[in-house]
Amino acid sequence: MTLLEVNDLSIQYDTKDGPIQAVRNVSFSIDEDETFGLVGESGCGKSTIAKGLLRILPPNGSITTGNIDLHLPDGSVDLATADQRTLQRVRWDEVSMIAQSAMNALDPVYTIGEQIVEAIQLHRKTPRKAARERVRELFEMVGLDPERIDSYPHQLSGGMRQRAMIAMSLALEPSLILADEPTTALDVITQDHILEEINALRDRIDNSMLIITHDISVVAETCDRVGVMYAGELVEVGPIEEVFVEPQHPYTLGLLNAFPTIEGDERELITMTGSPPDLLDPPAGCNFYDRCPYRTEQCQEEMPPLTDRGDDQHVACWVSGDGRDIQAEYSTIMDDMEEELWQRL
Amino acid sequence: MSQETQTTTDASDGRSQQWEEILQGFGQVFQNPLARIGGVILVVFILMALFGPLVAPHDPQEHQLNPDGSWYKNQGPTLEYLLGTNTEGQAIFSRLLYGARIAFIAGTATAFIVGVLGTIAGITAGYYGGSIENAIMRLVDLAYGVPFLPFAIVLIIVLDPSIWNIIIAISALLWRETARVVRSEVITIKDLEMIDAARAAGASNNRILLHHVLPKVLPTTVLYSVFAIGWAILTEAGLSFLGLGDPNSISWGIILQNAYVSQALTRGMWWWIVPPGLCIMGLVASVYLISQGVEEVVNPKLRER
Repeated sequence: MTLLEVNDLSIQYDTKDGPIQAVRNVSFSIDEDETFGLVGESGCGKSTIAKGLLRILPPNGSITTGNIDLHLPDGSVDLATADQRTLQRVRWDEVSMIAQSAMNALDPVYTIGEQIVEAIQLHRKTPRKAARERVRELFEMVGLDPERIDSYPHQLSGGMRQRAMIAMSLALEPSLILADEPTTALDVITQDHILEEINALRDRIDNSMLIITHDISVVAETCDRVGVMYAGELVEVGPIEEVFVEPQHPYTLGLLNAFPTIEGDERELITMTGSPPDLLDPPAGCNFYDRCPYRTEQCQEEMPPLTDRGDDQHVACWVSGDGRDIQAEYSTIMDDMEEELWQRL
Repeated sequence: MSQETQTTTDASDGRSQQWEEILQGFGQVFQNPLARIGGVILVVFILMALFGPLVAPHDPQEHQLNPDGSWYKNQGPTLEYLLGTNTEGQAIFSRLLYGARIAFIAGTATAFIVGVLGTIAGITAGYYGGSIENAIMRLVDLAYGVPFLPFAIVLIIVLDPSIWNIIIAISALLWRETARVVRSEVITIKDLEMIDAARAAGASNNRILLHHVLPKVLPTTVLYSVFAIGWAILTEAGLSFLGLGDPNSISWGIILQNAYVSQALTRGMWWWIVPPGLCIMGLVASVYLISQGVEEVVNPKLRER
């Protein structure tokens, strides 16, 4: 069953230079017990979506179109229009969040135990003692010594803090956990431990997760389905097997090629040139036009819609929509581009 | 930094530990040697305010009499009258002891009002922003534009001279500083990720303000309140000296005013002028010395290594 349905969501930031369309007409859904990944480079609107889902956008940010339907056993809520009272109830109880850097998300003035107890007592009538017992239980679950309950955030290492954040996000057994760059601030070893922890917990408790990251290896390791974002738009959505093996959007392809693999042939990493378009003045056609090696005239004039490519894969691209196998052409095109570049030099 | 890594092992609660740390923070203020000196002086004055009236050898308003029934006036210090008597034959030492109370009432009440008012205004302005912030901060600007002493004088003339009106007059202007500094701190605090995280956890604005913002501006509030104590004592003395004090109360400022009016200076009655002057100076200095210690706790960069 579908848990979260995001439909035609647009989020705008008002700046003194004019409105910035940070997220444009994004639609995706997350099933119960499913882990969905959102990948994309910095500034593509991933975190804005997470903040939009919880309605904790900064004061100059607003949801301009679309709805965010959260389907709960006792009825659906549209988070895009819900009032403060409903939001305060849904937050953490149904949708919790593992913030980007646990260092900054924890209040340095209170012990971590105190903070989780506070979150529990805010939503449930639980006596203090029982709440503390629950915190110990949670610590055990995420591999944190329960004795650390009275430690202050500064007394913990980065990995421990992230574990504490995860424990906090699980405290009320929410149906959906938003993990906004859960491992970005950590070194690779700790990152790996935390991802293992997330995977293990996912198996033990059945809730859905939305993992937001710029690191496609994180997605590959944890997610069932993935959405690739570029310049505020979703350019490709589908099961990770489909998207990672047969990417049908040039941007996805570029992302995958910019990443090394441990197995397989030794190959040169291909970096994408250029930078994303100015969102103050987005192009009329495809956002990726400027950087796309396959671009056509149609791409410049018309924005490609997200179309069904079978196997639950949806892609917004005119070129691959015509049946061209962009993956096969990729290396030759890139070689040509490189040669051209050398000649110009 | 606290060296506390030991954790309570029982499941009861971690609150006793919190209290311990609050006390520790209090102790930190007095790690500064100047603050310690200030603390000692302050304790003397506190004892004076608390027990002075009990140990005062004479009624401060009573005219001391000679055996023949005339006033025992203008006398220098003796063993019986430690600081002599004034032109009306009142015992100056006893008046000095009683005066400490007024100084403390003026100081603490003003500090409290300034702290509460300034913090509420600063937090509200900083956190909510927009037109609320604009309204409050323009009010602060207005308060900054008002000249301190003339304002206090006019207000007291309108409201009648009394210690409480003096406190109101001082507080009505001093909150501006606390409000400004607290607001600027709140502006940086509210953009911290942890405030977003608290919101994501379903915390209401009030809860965020009370639990996450307030504890972080509290040290600043305390610091500016301590400054306000000194200001209030000085201003109360100043206003009393100008004749705007409550004529029925005994404050150091009023003692000085009486002395001035009675030309104690030309008569060389030093025992009437010097002691209240020293008291005002000593108390204000002790408060400022302590504020140095508070400032070091609030702003650890000031600490000597």
